Amino acid sequence: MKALTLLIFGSILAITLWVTFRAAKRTKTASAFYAADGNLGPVQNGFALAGDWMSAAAFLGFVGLTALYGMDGSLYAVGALVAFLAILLLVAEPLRNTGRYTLGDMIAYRMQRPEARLAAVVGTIVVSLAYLIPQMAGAGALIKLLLGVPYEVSVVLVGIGMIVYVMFGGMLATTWVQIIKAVLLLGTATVLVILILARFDFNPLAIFSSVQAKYGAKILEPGNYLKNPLDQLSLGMSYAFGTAGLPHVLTRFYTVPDARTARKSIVWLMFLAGSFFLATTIIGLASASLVGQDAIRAADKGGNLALPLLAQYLGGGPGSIGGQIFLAFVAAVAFSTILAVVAGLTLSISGAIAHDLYVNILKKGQVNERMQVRIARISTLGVGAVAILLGLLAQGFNVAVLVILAISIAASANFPVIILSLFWRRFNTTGVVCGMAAGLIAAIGLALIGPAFLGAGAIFPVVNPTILSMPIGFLGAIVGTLIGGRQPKAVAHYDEVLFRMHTGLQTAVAVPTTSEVNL
Amino acid sequence: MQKAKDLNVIDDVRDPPLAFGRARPETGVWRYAVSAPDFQRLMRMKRLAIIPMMAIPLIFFFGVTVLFGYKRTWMGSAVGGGLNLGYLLILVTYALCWIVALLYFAIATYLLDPLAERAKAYGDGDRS
Repeated sequence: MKALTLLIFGSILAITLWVTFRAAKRTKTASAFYAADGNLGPVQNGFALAGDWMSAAAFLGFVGLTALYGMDGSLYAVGALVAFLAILLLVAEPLRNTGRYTLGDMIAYRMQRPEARLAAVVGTIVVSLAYLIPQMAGAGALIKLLLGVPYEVSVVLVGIGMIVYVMFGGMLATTWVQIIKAVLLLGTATVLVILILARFDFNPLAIFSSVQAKYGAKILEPGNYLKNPLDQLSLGMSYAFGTAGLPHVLTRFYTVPDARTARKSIVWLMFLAGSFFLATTIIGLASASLVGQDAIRAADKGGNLALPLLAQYLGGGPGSIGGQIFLAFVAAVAFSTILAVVAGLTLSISGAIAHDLYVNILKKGQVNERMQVRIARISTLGVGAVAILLGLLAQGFNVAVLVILAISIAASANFPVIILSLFWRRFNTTGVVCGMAAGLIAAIGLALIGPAFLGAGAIFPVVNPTILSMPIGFLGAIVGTLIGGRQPKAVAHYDEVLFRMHTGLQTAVAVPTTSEVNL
Repeated sequence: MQKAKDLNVIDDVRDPPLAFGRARPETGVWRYAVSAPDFQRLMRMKRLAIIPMMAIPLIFFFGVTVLFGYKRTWMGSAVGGGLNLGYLLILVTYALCWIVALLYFAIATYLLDPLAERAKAYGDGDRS
């Protein structure tokens, strides 16, 4: 089984490395490195977005939660689809029309100040790192469970993989890794759902009845996982608004030529990933019914192995050839899922460091093309090394907390700043800095005094801090703006931003770095 | 087309049209552009389309999360065919998201995009 998994994974790796090799030849400019030259089509970007969004947490986590806790797991899954409404309707198109490579570009273009860009850099790095570390740790734990490879070895291998993809192939390679992974994942889910339905006479509702017969009606009620009633609402808020503040998702919209393509790609994503999330409910309930909760818990307390176990069961059970092939395939797909997601995150962090911090803030844009690409590659290497190190240190910690934190910070710090930058004329640089700081401190602070860290003795009763930290983020941004006072030039500049944002005039907006300092 | 020297322009970025922005950045030409009737119409239509499409599914979804928090037994009550009320609401949320996505796509493509093109033509200085 080990050899088979390695063989399947080896072939996936070989294909992605070949893609990276091809992409590397075309990655000669900063525009190619960060945004694949803005040349991707709607279907390509839709699949890549889906690949980005269907992380291991979704693939294994939603299934496991649904298998063990029923409806709360399904709520997580549908939340991940609701997440894209705000992106589709409010954020993606204006963002596409006012930036080039990074979130910092849009904020800097709107505010014309380096401080504003710096705030966006902080938001990008904190959120992406908080998202990246659990992925690395998850990869380590998963591979150890499935293959018996030591945790450290897996983390280092994942790290090297993502560094190679991003460093050499930039956005183009990252995109194709995500597309390949999305196709594999969707294919796997389709096969599983068909096999499951075959066991239930192709009547999805029979799965519900069977779970209910086995575990009682309580399993299909909410509240088995999220005990505090406010937790459900806070989780919903994190998804609905936090996703629109995830830099690695937002930078995907710079890879397409215009707002219209960005829009199309989101609709693709919503159907691809949405059906996948719906499938996780079916797969989760089916694994509770067929494999059994005790067997799932025995393999992994958190339920993360529910899907691999179900795959093994559907293939013919442990020991059978079919079961081994299925398990091997699912394990390999899970590993490639993690690789694709960490590659996207790494690219987003190194963009913030190389493009925003070094090129635009430190060098004021006076860096030639070749040097820009070189700096981007060096920072990728650095980010990768740091990620490997943090991944190694994270062993044994409850990394799930970090996933909650990442999306809460995105909802509390990045989202208010993005929304107000786009839609509030008076919003200014002081507001950006204060909003970012308030959201960041509130989200981290409330998480630290919440049940995730303090357990039963928590001061703040809700696991997910968004319900309070997002309003604090907005408040910080608004109060900061009022403190900053009227800035007539910045207010007048909003007309230009508004016009370009809604008409797409000159889509590849020049970022006026020099006037960022002069204004 | 001249290349902008003072902007951080690296690749084939098109210069802003001469009448706007770069020539006399402080004179409020953009103010003029955003108050043009075509642009104002675009903004009105966008607000009209986007606000309800954003509000309805979100209110529904947050309503579901509140019910999940406070009306747990009710959510577990059967609605037939093995399905309970909670799962029915989850399915409706999926459907609502997909319907809104398609609806917005249609409205944006067939109504908002042409309006944006007209507004942009004004900004391009094509209006003679």
